[in-house]
Amino acid sequence: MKRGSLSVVGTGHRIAGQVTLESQALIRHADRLFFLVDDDLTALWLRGLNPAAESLRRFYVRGRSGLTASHAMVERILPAVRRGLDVCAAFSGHPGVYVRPASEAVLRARSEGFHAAMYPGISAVDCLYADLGVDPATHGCSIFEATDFLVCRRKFDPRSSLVLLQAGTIGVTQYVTRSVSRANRLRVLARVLEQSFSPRHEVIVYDSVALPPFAPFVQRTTLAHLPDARVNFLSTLFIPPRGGTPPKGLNINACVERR
Amino acid sequence: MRNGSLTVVGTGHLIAGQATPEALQSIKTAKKFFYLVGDPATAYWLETLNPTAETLENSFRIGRNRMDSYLEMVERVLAPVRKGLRVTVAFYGHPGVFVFPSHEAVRRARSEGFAATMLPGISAEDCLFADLGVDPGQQGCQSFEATDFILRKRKFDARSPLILWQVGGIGVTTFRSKHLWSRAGLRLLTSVLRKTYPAEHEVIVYEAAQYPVCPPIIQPVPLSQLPKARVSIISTLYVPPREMARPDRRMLARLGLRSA
Repeated sequence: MKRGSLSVVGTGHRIAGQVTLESQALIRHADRLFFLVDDDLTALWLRGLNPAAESLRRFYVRGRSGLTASHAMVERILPAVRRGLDVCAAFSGHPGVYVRPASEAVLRARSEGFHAAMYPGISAVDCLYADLGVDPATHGCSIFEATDFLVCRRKFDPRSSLVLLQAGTIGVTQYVTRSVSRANRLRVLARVLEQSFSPRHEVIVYDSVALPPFAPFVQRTTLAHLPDARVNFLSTLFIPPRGGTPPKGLNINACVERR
Repeated sequence: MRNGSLTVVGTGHLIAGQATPEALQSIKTAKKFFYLVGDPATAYWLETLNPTAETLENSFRIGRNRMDSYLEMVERVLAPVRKGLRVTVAFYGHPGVFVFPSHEAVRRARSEGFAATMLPGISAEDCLFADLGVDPGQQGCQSFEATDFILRKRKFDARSPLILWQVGGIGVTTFRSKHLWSRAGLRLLTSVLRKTYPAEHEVIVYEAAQYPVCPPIIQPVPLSQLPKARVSIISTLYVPPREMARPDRRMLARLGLRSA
């Protein structure tokens, strides 16, 4: 294995509160730290942990696609690895959940013969499970990026939980946009969901990004009113299973065992 | 709000390595601390953090219905809350994923007028995302408990990753000490999946790393060979997408989008 390594970590969504101890150690001891985080306080905290820290935010340029920005970030991270340094790249949330440059950098470093690893972090979906009291195991859970959900016409089980990421930016990332307003796109989403749920079905708009001591933003509405909801670009949409979520426990398993 | 409070936290899967500062703080400052973890090393570490530490593991007994054990745990946790104490309970992984007593204790405490919070932890699914390079933001991700998946005939999208939990314990409700709880269940699962995926479709039997020096177990196997694979009660099955999804032209038009 060549000298030089890459560790990709996540910082969660509560400044320093949700970073795992292993990730914190990697951030602190890296020769070079790159980061892309939600807010300035997290950035400040990271700079305090490691003086060799550099933000990757400048690669997001208005009008340039996320993919292009991601390539540019990877091009910024890898030269340090090639110089033989132990490099850490830190991202908000979980680095493997909807963070393109994180996985791209790991794959690239490995293909060039360097040691590269990804360490799990607390994702927005983890925060959602905790804050909304949802156990994804009870009825099962499907997670889709909202645009992908619509455009690929994803199949799902309406008796299970459904999580739609990036509900506020339908159509913005992978596709070239013509002029259809955000409310109209949410209306299309609501129409598609109404094929499986009643218009009165409760849906929850959830924003995991909250600076302590503020609680995350939880907005309960119905499918019919979804187009009027306050949905921002980081919002996650949670659609509870049809028939509500009574705590049923493990009774189903008992049936199998008796058979 | 009444005196007494409950905080439920997760410790992740690597002894102390995946614990978060907010969870640690809550464990250390609790007036009464309970825990339920998977291994003795994590238990030992937790015992050093808070002198009131008490395991909930002894609520499990061989042959006893798991739900009875869980309800007993909830009662044990709530008793000191009702006495006005600040109580913290730690579970391994994420305390809200695949853990019944955590959600139930929070619900019960709130319904009785106490402040109750759950802090997220690193779940086995988070470890899988990192170890197998699966990004739910790209092609989505569907997860089901394996018994529930079979019994309820869950609908899913074969063009998206599928994750099935507890594949070693299909149809088992009692606590057992054997390594693999049900091989018959594994055969049943394989035949269900064969209706959607070809026999040679490569699936992965996955176990998150338990200790810092041990790597995770990543065992690729053709679907048809799954019943013979080495599966334990903590194994998870990862089924990669059968094919890539293609964008629907009419939906693109409805959204005012065209392919990039």
